[in-house]
Amino acid sequence: MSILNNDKRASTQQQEEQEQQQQQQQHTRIITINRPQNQTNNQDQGQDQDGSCNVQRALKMPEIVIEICHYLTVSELTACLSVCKLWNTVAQHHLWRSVFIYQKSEDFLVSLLPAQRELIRQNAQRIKTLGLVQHETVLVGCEACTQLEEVYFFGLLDKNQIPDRVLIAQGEEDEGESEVTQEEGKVDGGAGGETIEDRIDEPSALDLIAQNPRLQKIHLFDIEVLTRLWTPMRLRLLRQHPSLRSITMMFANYVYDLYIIRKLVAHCPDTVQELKITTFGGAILQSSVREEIIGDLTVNTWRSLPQMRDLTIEMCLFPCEETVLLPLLRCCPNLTRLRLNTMFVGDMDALMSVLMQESLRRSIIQLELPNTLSDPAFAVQFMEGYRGLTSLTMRVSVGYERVLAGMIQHLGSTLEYIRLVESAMTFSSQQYLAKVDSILEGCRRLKSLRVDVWENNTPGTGVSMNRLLGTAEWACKETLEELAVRIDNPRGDLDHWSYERGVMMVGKLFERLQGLPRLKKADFVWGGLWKAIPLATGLKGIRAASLRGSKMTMADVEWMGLHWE
Amino acid sequence: MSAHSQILLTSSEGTEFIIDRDIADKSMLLKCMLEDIGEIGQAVPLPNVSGPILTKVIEYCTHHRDDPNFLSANDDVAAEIDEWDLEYCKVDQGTLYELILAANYLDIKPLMDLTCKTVANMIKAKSPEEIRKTFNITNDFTPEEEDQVRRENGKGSRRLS
Repeated sequence: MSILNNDKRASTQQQEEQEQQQQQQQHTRIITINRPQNQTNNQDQGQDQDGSCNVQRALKMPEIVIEICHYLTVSELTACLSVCKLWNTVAQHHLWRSVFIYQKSEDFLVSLLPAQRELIRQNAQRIKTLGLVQHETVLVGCEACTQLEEVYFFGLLDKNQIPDRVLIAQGEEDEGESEVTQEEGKVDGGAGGETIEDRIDEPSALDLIAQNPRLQKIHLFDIEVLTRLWTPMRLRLLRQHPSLRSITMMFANYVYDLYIIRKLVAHCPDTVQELKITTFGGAILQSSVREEIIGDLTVNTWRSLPQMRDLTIEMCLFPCEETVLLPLLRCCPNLTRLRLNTMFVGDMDALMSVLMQESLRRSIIQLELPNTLSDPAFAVQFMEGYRGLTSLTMRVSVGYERVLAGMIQHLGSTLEYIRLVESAMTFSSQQYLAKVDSILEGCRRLKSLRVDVWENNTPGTGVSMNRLLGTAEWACKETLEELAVRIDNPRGDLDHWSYERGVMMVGKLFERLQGLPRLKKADFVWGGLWKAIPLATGLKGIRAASLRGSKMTMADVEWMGLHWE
Repeated sequence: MSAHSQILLTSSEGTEFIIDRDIADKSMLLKCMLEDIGEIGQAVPLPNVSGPILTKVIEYCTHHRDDPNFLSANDDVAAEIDEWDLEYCKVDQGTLYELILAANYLDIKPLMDLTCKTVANMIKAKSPEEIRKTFNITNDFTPEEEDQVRRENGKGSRRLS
């Protein structure tokens, strides 16, 4: 029972009182005790002195300014620095929360200038997120940071590999080409004016990790050679880290990726529940080197990771089942979410047998297998094994209808989130789309259905739309919150018939959507026909899509009986 | 069911509001207080919140009454504000700040997040001078200090040099 469930704001006291009377019968009500009303109604006259007084009060309270700054970007925070002293202090604090040290030129950044180190030291306790590039000696100056929650390392190199040409002092302001694109606070480290100092105790990324007990996430991008600095003692410290929760590794073109993956997995602390590995298999270029490096590591370096919940493995170009994929999957018996995206699988049977392990089938509830499920026979068998899944992402390709039938049969009663994707490489989505309605008809707990496909055949959009709709009742009527269908049509041409038909179908689709009580988001892109299909804004909570770039006219919208904003 | 129990609140000017217990529980201040001392049947005075503002606050809590994600919904800084909330925040600045103060005082985090996000949106794409003007903030820097701040933050990007 609500006291003020109407959206309308009471703009005067009288209205409020009227409302109160209306609400008298209701379960909850408002009683007004008549007192002399010396207060003006703020809702009408907020901009006057009364309002500005509140402004003064609210914006002078540090906790409120802090809260507001929480939602600002770096450039906005920078503007806030010169507003007033309080805002300066708060904005400074926020700006220092995340610091990215990145290179300005092609040369390697090997160390920070003394003044830069000093600034980092002074603000070390404020820094929560730190990003470093190129070389671990950049860490000198960062050892004062002990409050870090998140660290990014980009391409740390072994000092011995840095060519001699490095380090010509650069102007501070010019040609700063940042490598790092994070929108957070950035700190330019100019290519330092110092030569590489020889240190007996070179700092290591692992030291930084060890000295930050609150660290939750580490991200490693293109880390190259770290063997020399990652000593057994340092690795032991990593193993004992008290709070590390998530490790992300991404390698573009390095031969040492597998080595580093293994090293980190072998020494990751028991607190780590999330592991993301993306590698493009650069070693394919030098597989002999790769074999050599990982040679002795292929045996006995994997330990069980019962705490691991969330695993992402993305591998392109190079089949890695034996070296990483399968051993890692065997180590993680209690995953709840698995995202596996492998372009080429050498030994499907081996992968299948690991995935069909009893423990994984029982524990995993969210699964993304966009490429791995491309074989229909495998896919259906797979879904039968994974009864109980709540979330599934898969690719539509040849034999899709059969896969879909299997999905509805085995997972129809549990799936809440379905995403279907298709690359431009496969052909004719029409036939695949033909059965999308069967998902809506067959999955009774479905909350979100997203379909991303490319349509190469025109005319077909109208037909697809027709098929999407179906005529049978949707089983997920009561639960569906999101329906997004994106059909990109690279050719972008459509005959008149398809267009007319399409328009009619949109109207029918909206009619169906109107009957969904929980629908929050409906998102349709029909390439070629409309860049964006305008949505019925009469649907509660659904934003209108733009008419821009669309062939649809206002007259069409009205003809469909849609409300347009 | 305890949902039927009701709480009496008194706003700063003495207006009394009766609200359901589950609505009151959206405010951590009231929730903790009611848990500690129990429902004593007396009015809870809220001297920092005026009647119209309390009405707005109750409107918010009532709308989000059955929201299961009430406390976790706004964790995502970049999350979009939903339509009802957006409409709810279309008030003048005075009311908006009163709402912030009330949300802060009553400890209703989602309302605090929403209103602060709304203020943050008003800051976007404004110069320091425009920000001062918008929010009626007095510049308390001396010219030298202001000059220094400007020098340190030249070009809009922070530099360690």
